[in-house]
Amino acid sequence: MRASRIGIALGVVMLMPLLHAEEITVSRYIDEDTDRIPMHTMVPIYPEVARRDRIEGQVQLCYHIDKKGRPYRIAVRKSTHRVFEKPAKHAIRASTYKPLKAGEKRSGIKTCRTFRFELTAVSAENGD
Amino acid sequence: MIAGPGGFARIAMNIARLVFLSALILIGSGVPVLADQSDEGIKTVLGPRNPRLADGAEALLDGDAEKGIRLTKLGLAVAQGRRERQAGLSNLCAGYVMLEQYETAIEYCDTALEENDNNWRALCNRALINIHLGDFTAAESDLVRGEALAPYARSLKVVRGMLLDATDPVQPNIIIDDRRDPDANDES
Repeated sequence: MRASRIGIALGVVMLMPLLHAEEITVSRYIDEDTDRIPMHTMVPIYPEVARRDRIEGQVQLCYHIDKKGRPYRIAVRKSTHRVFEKPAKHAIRASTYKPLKAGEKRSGIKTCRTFRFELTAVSAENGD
Repeated sequence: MIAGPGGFARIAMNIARLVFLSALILIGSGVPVLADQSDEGIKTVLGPRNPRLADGAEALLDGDAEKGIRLTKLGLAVAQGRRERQAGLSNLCAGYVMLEQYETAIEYCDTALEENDNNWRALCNRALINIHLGDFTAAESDLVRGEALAPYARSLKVVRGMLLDATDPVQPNIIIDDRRDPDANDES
């Protein structure tokens, strides 16, 4: 059922990524029945040029995950703007999944992750 | 609309970067020239035509605004031609921006633009000052003129972004979607 695949919206969390000096909102969606469980998820930086020029877009990356939970053979599957590809790839490289247990076999299926880069208007009086 | 404190913090952060770009105009005044070789004993020297103007701009690039302004003023006093004068005035404008003396800076920008109203760097600097002074209408006007003259200039894009941040600030939002069907309804 498609509805069951929609998964859990983990909600909106506010965090201050070390690489970015400003507040950034991060939302996350994941299937309940995922093959590999994400452990450490790196949030990509919003490219300064894209933020400055008010560019939004999305990048879908597909990759394999090794036994230790490290992504490899990362490839861009879909991209609306090249400016987002580098930070998205960097974020995948720095992310990890739960390692496989001894004897546990990999499915061999590629995992894909989509990053959507959006800009939300905030009131000028409140600043950011 | 008024920019919040965060907006101005970003503006301040970008000022140094912008001044850096503006000061590059100095390179134009540093055109290597060949000395006259008709007389024996005269050496051929490659270097800037107006060393003080060049050194002043270099100091500005290094972030030493006071030294940059002092040398640029000395260079401006012996400036040859309109181009050198314009470069000097534009760099003085940038230097005073670095010192956060915006009223003085805008005077030099105005003078540079009186001499040549097609000086997009001076327009860019003045737009930056106007953003800082809260005159967003004047900043928009300068930017529109500057963008018409130099549509691909990076420093103009930076100042345009700063104006947008001041008038219409945005917050980045990143969505990480691990679903097999990422086009599914996000409001689930």
